[in-house]
Amino acid sequence: MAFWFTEKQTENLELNLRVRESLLVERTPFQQLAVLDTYLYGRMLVLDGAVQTTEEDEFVYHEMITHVPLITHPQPQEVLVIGGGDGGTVREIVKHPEVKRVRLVEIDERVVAAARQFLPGLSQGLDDPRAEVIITDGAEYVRAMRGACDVIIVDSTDPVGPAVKLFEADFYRAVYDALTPEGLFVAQSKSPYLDRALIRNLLDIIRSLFPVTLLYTAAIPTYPSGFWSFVLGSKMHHPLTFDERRAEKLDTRYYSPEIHRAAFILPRQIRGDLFQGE
Amino acid sequence: MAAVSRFYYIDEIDPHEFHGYAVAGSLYVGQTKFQTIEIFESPKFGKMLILDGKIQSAALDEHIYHEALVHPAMLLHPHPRRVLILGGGEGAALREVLRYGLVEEAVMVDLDEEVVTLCRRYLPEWSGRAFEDPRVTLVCEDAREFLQRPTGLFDVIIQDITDVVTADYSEAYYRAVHGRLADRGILAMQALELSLADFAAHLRVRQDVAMAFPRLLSYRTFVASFRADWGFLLATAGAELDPFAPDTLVARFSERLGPEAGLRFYGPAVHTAMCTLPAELGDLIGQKPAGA
Repeated sequence: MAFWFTEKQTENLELNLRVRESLLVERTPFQQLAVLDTYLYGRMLVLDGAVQTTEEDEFVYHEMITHVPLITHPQPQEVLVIGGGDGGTVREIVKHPEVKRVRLVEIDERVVAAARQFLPGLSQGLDDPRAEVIITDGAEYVRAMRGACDVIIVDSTDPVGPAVKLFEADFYRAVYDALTPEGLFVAQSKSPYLDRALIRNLLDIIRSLFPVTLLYTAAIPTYPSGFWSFVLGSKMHHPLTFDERRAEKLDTRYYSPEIHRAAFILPRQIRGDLFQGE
Repeated sequence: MAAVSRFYYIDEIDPHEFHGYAVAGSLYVGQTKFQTIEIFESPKFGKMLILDGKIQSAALDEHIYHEALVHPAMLLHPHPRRVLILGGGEGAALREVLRYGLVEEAVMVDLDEEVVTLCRRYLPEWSGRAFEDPRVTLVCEDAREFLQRPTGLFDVIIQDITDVVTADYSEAYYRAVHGRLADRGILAMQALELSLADFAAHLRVRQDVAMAFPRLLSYRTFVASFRADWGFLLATAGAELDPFAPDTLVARFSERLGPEAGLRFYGPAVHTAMCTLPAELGDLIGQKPAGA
């Protein structure tokens, strides 16, 4: 009858997508990797059974994880991406003329190779002369940096497999140390509906390090619950004070100055739960 | 080869049942002039061929299906020299027919040349060297049209066509098949699931065939990749469809095939088992037990 991919998103929730064909299936040293061609969302990257990105909705995630921090920083010159081997985040970063260097630190070189072969619309950013791909453990790499980055973007998988330590306090201390005194970072932090405890834990860690700690959201159809969040920790700059003209100039499909502001406005119940007394 | 987690080929049997086959990867997906074709790798069943959303065969047990389809008719016939295969694009029914030294000519008629070509490329184990055999003629044409043309008479006709419960395969069609059989000729065909859960489609095909053939016999075997007991039909043009005397079967088997034939499934004991339906199932399709 038909090929169906099912992501078991939680014990009680599954997402089913009808598939035309599989383009790549392999086990890398780190995870199971697949590229499937879906009828609804085009080509889709799957790691350990979880949807990472699809051609049709990737722009929401990649624009929102990139432009919010890069516009918040008045002069983002040195940018570090941890994870994000598909290249979509780097493609957005190189839209900023202020950026002088982007380093992408991906643990699994097979993810980069698969994206270059099957997802050229995402991986094209990696060909920018300012971009550099480093294949190593991002958590280790960031530990070796001191005050070097204006913006760090943690574009990781969920906290299973190789990404577990990207959700721990040690890692965020290292991120703090790797940033310049004006630096800030963003990390994807799963669904405010389904992963409240994980977000609360991340916010606690980040609050203990960064004077500005905020959560913002975006609507991403293929991620669990469709409602996604990002945590932002900043040493100096507040994301709601930004240069609208720079934001307006970006060539984007989801992000805009209005969306930038609106993304920080949380539904009352979620705000009450995560930001009591603020 | 491991499967992608939770990536399945879903086969909807009917509104009340579906089977899910884990997929390790697609080998070929496309559309021919006549149908969609999908070939994928299953960790459990090996390569699987799907035409228009219907599972045709799987590497694990295509031999069971094709041996069950071909050998009963080939042994029942006293001298199968000229054989016609209708459908069977994989070339596996042809492979089984060619095991017989008695066979002088095998004509295979399949509508879809692209399916035959793709099967030879992606499923070469199915046909082996069958298409290189000098006794073989491949005709890419609709079976119904082929049957209208003067192409001589056949001793055995093997019908390996999926969609046998459509208006295309009616009394008139089976009369045309009947017309192409020589004296003592035998038709063997795949005839859908035959089990307590699903026998209605088999019964309908059986009734269609019965309009043109006075004597017929339903038999079945379990095909693991279909997750079902699969039904087949034997029908004769005029002569008795003689349920074998066991020693005749054993004698013909060793004469015509023998241990060197390399069969993996079929043999005299399996033949008898396949032709023995539980009384309950025989009653449902109107087949009396042998010797009754």
